[in-house]
Amino acid sequence: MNLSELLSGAPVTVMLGMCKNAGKTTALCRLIREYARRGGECLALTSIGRDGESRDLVTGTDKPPIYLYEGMLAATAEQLLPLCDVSREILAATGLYTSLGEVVIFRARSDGFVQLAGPAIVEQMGALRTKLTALGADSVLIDGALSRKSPSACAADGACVLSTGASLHRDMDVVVAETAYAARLLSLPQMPAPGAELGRVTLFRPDGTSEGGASASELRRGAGAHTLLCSGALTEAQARTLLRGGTDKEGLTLLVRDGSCLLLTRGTFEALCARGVRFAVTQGSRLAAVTANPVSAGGWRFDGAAFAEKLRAVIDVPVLDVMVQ
Amino acid sequence: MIELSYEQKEDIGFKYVRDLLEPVCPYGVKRLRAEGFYAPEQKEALERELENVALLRAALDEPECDIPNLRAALGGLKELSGTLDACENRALTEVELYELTAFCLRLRTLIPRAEALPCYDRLDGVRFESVDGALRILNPSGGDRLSFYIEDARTPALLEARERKRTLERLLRQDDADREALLARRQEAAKAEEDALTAIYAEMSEALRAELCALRACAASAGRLDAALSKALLARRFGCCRPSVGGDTLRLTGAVHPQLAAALEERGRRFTPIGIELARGVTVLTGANMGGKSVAMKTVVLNTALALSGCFVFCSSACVPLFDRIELINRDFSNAAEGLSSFGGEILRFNAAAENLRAGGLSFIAMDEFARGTNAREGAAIARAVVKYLSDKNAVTLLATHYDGTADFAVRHYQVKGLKDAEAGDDASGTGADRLRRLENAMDYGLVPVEPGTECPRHALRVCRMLGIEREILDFIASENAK
Repeated sequence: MNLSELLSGAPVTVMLGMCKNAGKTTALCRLIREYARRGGECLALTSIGRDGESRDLVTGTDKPPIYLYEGMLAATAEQLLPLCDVSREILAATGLYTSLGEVVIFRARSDGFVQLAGPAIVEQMGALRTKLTALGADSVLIDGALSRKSPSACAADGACVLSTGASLHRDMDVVVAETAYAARLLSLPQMPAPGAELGRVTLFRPDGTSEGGASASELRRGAGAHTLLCSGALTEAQARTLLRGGTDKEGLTLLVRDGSCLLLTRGTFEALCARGVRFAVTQGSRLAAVTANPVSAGGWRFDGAAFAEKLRAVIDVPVLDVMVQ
Repeated sequence: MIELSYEQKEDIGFKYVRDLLEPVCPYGVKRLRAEGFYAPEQKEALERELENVALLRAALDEPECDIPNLRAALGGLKELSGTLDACENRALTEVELYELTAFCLRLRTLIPRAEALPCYDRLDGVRFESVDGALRILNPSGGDRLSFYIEDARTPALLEARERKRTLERLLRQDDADREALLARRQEAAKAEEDALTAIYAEMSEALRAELCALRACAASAGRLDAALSKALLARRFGCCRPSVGGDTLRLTGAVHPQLAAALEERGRRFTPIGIELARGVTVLTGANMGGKSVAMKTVVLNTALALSGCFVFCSSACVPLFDRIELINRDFSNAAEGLSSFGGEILRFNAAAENLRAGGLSFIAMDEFARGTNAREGAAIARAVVKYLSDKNAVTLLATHYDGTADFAVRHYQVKGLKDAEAGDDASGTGADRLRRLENAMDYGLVPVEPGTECPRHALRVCRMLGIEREILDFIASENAK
């Protein structure tokens, strides 16, 4: 199966990982290769945080280096340029800064290895995307290196690829269940906010009235379907308070910006769903595929075929074994 | 040399006005930040700066001057002083060379726009030099494309390394390639490319050293032009005038304090412009409470400070001496932090001002209700003695006070016109805001010269009545006065 075909038409794709060594960089390299073979499209690469180094700076495990092809664009920090061996044409200094210096955009004038470090702030990533597009990028590939899932906010109009692997847990069933949960958060239905935000949380009633407050528990509910809009993250503690409250939750829609705003454990999420709560996002990104890495950095490995099979049983989007396919 | 603290600049509104200046390039920002106040020995420099502002102010009215495009070109320049300095001592990096290329290309856009100004040849310190020499080094193939890349043919070593690398990369694209072996050979070629580029960057940097003078002149010119243009734009926006500088008499007509004027405008009111002439010696300013003495003082100090920092002033005409220093002696909340009462703070400040007078040069001393923090009898005696002391010193002093007799030794005495009798009724109805509005309507904030020694106006009780002080208090005062 061709990963790049699953992403066709997406102006931006964010690579997300369930954990370290989930195979995200392997999936990224594969995508770059596919784009190069396909041709005709200018791909731009950058990273939230740092990526491309040959050893993981946190876990000390080997990583596949990022190899990009002539004509592609890359945005990376100035101090990492000497570590890139691709021939470069510098196109812009962006005015966006990382701990490794200003983010610089270059065009690859040869094939070669790159190390990437882009802005770690969602808003800055938006500005960088705009610059990359202005310089001719048809599609922007963002490696969500630093955090695992929150970079999905960068792809409100694009797609996500979620990488999971044996490194997450020794128990394959736990990995499958957690991945299915993450995939579900990245596939929540999208709906517009029913009205203006009136506080940290805003309750929209069926009769058209709304009320704002600091927490969901202080809002008075009436009869019928409601929408509860959270302006920031919905934390585990807030969700538990909501869960414990005696009020009827049947027909309540919890609306957040995107799936990364739901900082809930799988158990709490499922308990709320069981009570009739529905979840939705105002800025949905499309989960295009899940990649599976049966090899763990910790030394254990799953049966690749069984792992992919189990994932396919609970996840609606295509699942690819990055080590095989 | 004039030195005002951050708090003093904020208090008199100087910071407010300087913040209204909107330079668009980092060199303009730097120039304005470093400008400070011009000392008497810098009179020529100050005149040249004011002339620059005047020329640009006139250019703003000429329809053929494309100021927005000129500002857009200025706004494209980045701060590269560090890179220019670095070039003196070491080879620049590829990003620094890119930035220099971008700088030169943007200057190429800016220079004809600046030269199109009818006053360009008369602007002081604005001389853009050609960047063609630098661009020939940075971008030998020419063209206006904003990017930085060393073409293969630049040196044989680079050409050889890149060709070798490219061949290996083509082989690596094939599925059946022996990747490990090819990657190892490619790594060697990449190293050779890097070595070739390092040598080229060093050679380019060395060649650029001969161009640094021209590039620095361009940066300085951009700063000078941007700073003066932002002053000219401010002058147009507020109808400011060019001050004449020199002499020893401070003369302002139609003077306005823009910060207070803006606050008044928000409340639907207008600032009453003031006219004042301060000669060497002491000028005393008296007037009713709420009559605007402090506002008048701030207006005078602000416009003086602006003139001496090379700005046009918020006046219809202005003549400002080149003071060696401006001494502000007013209530200062920092006194408490230093363990001083407001009175103690004032005295120490006055001592410092007196000490400075001994150093020579012309001082401008502004004292707002000096010695008010002590009992009225002693306070009046101190204020009167200070006026006497300063009357023959090399200083232009403005002292606002309520104390009678203070102006006996003054060269001039101004009074706030104060409450207009016809409108100053006793009506204290409505809310506090209503009473304040009535009082403001009844007050004439204009200044009028009076004979030195004229008794201070007695408006305090009427102001209290109009502001709705407790009736019982007024009755008690009336009964006491009747005795």
